[in-house]
Amino acid sequence: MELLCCEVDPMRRALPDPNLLYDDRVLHNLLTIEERYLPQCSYFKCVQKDIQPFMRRMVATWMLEVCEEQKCEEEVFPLAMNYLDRFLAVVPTRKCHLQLLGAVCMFLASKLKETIPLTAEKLCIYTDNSIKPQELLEWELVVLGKLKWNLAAVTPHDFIEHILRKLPLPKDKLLLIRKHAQTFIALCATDFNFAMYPPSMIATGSVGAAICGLQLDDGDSLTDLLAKITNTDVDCLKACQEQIEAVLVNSLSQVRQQQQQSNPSKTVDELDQASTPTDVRDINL
Amino acid sequence: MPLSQSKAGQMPCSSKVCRNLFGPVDHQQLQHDLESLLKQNLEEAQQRWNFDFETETPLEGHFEWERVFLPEELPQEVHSLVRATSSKSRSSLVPSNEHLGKLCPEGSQQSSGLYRAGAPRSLKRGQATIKDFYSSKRRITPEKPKP
Repeated sequence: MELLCCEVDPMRRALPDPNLLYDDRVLHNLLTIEERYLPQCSYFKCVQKDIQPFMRRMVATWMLEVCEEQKCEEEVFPLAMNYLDRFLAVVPTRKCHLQLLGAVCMFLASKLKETIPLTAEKLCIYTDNSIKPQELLEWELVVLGKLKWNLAAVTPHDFIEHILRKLPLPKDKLLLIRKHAQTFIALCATDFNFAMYPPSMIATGSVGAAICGLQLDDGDSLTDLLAKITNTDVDCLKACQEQIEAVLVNSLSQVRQQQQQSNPSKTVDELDQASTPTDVRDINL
Repeated sequence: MPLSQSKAGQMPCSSKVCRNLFGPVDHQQLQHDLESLLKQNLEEAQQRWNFDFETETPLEGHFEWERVFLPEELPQEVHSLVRATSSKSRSSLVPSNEHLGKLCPEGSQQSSGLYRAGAPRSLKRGQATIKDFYSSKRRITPEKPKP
């Protein structure tokens, strides 16, 4: 007797639930509650003394790299950044404890969103063993307390499907648009300027930027339609989308610089093909 | 290295991503900060629920704490509970449950006098019933469950 092993993907996924995605009440509820999960203030001005904006970018970049290497679900990174920002908005934190906080936030976000979450041991290794698993677990409790155990925060990802299904888009491009929008959302999460924006605006701006980047838009009507879907002000949305595109240009030029520094003999074109992530490179502005 | 072999084998961490971002961590300072933040959490909770979670005693305040007994427990290991009632609306009680897990010190499961806040009887159902289920289950697990 032959035995067949049909387990291709070890990660079991539920099918998209039409009851959740095709009901506008869900979108409306998300829009109503999203503000509750924003950080209370722009904490570099009023709470933090030791931590500066560039340090947030450093820890965010590291967290994104860990999430990518561990193939975490897309929402884990933005959710972890939401925890980090909300914690920093209420607790003055030392610079040397910031990476521990980042690890704790990934630990919590991964447990909330993933079937096989990141382990404390693995996260400690990613800090080059500068923290111990025991410390991670103890600080988990502190972070939970300060977040008032409100972990199911709304993220821009929650809006993507609701927005996409209301846009007249070619079916064959949907996958690519979604992927680009997700990349933009991750980029936004690394940049503090977006930390106080409502997730729906980041989602709408990211979808807009993705569609424009793929040259699938037809002028102003897209922005108007997008703004209507999430009740966003048209001008705010335009500004947000431009900001997202600027962040992309900025991060692409940084990637190129780093590559040229490490491989000065190669041309930019060769480098582009060699190691720039496809999802970012494909976007034409 | 404390990492279990199986996990390490599944997905190795690349040396590029494994890095210490902000220099050496002062573990003593970390412990100190942890303790003061935990204390802060506990004080906030004590004020909010007028309940001393360290000594497990009710305090004066707008919640009225009342001792209750779990019916399914054997007489010799009776754990007493406290039920909190408030004249306020339901919404004021809902957050109570989210705080409980972190606030009860770990040893409280074994202590003879266990206090717990629950929803008033008039509520149809609240998360308190789930909490009841969890803690009573935890106490049963060391023994073999009866068929």
